[in-house]
Amino acid sequence: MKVVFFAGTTGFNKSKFLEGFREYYLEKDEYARTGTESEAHVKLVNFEDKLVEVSGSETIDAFLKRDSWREKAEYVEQTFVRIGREIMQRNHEIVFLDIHLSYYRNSMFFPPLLKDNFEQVTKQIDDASASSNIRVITLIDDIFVVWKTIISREDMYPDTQLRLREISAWRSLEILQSESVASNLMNPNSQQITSYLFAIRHPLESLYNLIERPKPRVGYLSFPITATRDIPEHVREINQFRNEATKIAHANKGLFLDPVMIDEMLLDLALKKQGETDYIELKKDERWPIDPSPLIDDSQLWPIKIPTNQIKEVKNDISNNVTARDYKLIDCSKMVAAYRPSLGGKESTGVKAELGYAVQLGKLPLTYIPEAANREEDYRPFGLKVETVSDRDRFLSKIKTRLTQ
Amino acid sequence: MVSPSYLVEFLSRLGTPSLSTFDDRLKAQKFVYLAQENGASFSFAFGWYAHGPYSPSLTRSLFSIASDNSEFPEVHEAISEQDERVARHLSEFFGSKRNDIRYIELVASVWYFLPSGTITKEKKHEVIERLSREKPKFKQLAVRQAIEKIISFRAQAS
Repeated sequence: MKVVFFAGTTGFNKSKFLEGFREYYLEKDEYARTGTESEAHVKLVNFEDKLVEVSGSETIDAFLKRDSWREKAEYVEQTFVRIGREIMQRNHEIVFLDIHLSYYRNSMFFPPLLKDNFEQVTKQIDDASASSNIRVITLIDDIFVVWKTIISREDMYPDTQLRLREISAWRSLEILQSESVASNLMNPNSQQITSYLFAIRHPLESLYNLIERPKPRVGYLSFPITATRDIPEHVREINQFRNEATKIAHANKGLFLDPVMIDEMLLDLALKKQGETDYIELKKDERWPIDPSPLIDDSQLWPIKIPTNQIKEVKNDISNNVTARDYKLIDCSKMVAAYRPSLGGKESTGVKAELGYAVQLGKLPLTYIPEAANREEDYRPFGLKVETVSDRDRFLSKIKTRLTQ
Repeated sequence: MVSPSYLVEFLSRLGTPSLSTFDDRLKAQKFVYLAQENGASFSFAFGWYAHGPYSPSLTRSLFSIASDNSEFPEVHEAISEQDERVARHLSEFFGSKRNDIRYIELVASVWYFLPSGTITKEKKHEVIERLSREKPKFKQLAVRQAIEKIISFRAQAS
């Protein structure tokens, strides 16, 4: 049996996404979307639905509003035990557990993370293969999408509006909780379980490959973003590379974690462009262009009008988050492929930082620099020890080799 | 979650429950664990700790009604037929070894690692190896005997 914990905050229709992803997974494995066999192959469990059932509450909101913290914690524990029992009885091949590791209500976070709770779900997994059969994946999306989604649900969930900064902090907590879950679920053979961060706008095949293989083939794509995003031909060139690299990864049952699947720098750019107004308007076509996901339809959210003061408040957090997130993605990757770090006219500080980090971790990054052909043999971009390739075809070929090693 | 007094009433079917000594607390933990595994109405999350399966929330629950000297008040609470049945079966399982702390810990520990369903020879061997690592104080022969007893008990129960 394999268990995948899909963590993530509220605000981006995670449950609906996972229902769709389960169907995608079944199709990839050549199962029908419904039926007993399909259910035995991939079971999707919604923790929140179970919690509401176990606690006898009308809604999750009603549950979270209960006064007794201790009582709520006990219901959470009971829910884990119930799910564990049900899984054991049915013996599914794969279990997707859709769960929020943190709720934020009445200015408080809940519940506490208890190792024993999570082990109710994982203890049926054969120990010898436990680390390869447990995944902890935190799903994320742009915080402005989360912000707008929460506002648009105000009638269903009154008094739940959050400021951008609160959403950013909540996401950081959720990611931290995921790290704690993964660390605490280390199996007796001391094999580490990795906590992955995954933006839901990646191709579905990437998420499939993250789960399907016992040891996922994960790479990270690095390329200049700030200096290139306003130059259409650079964006086209980079997108062509992104697509080709992703195709190579998918053909080899791997994936690339792609930094533009989150584009929160859009907030800062919009703030700079629109100056001192009460509201900043984000337009979808100003986001870094990516292929749409078949499971995400957010067209009704755009344009997104956000109070300027909220964007100003969260500016530094966005910048910090970009760095922390990209480093985390590199942590989870076996290789880094950097594309033309100087595209846009100057050496990208973002790419430089990412390459530097990868070098620190002992992951020899692979860098495509066509101008390196005219440089000294021992040319080192940014003075870093990276493998530099000046021929594009050779670069793509090496990507395949590194990813599948 | 069941009330602490319900738990005490249940445990009284298997002896005189108390939290005064380490052995008392260990017995309470292991009996509740085994009862839950056998269909009792409890839902505590047990994890593997130094002395076998253990639930921190169970400890909290039991201590919440224990007196300062860790004794329980007299309780008179009706327990369900199902739980009565579970208590009876466990009582029969342990027989005269109901107060043998080492044996109770052994059985609970083996139960924790023994998967449900058909147990192959390889699985038994894995469990023996695992217990040798986790609990070297238990001899392999004792572990083997506990495995066979549990398998037979599970077969009868089903």
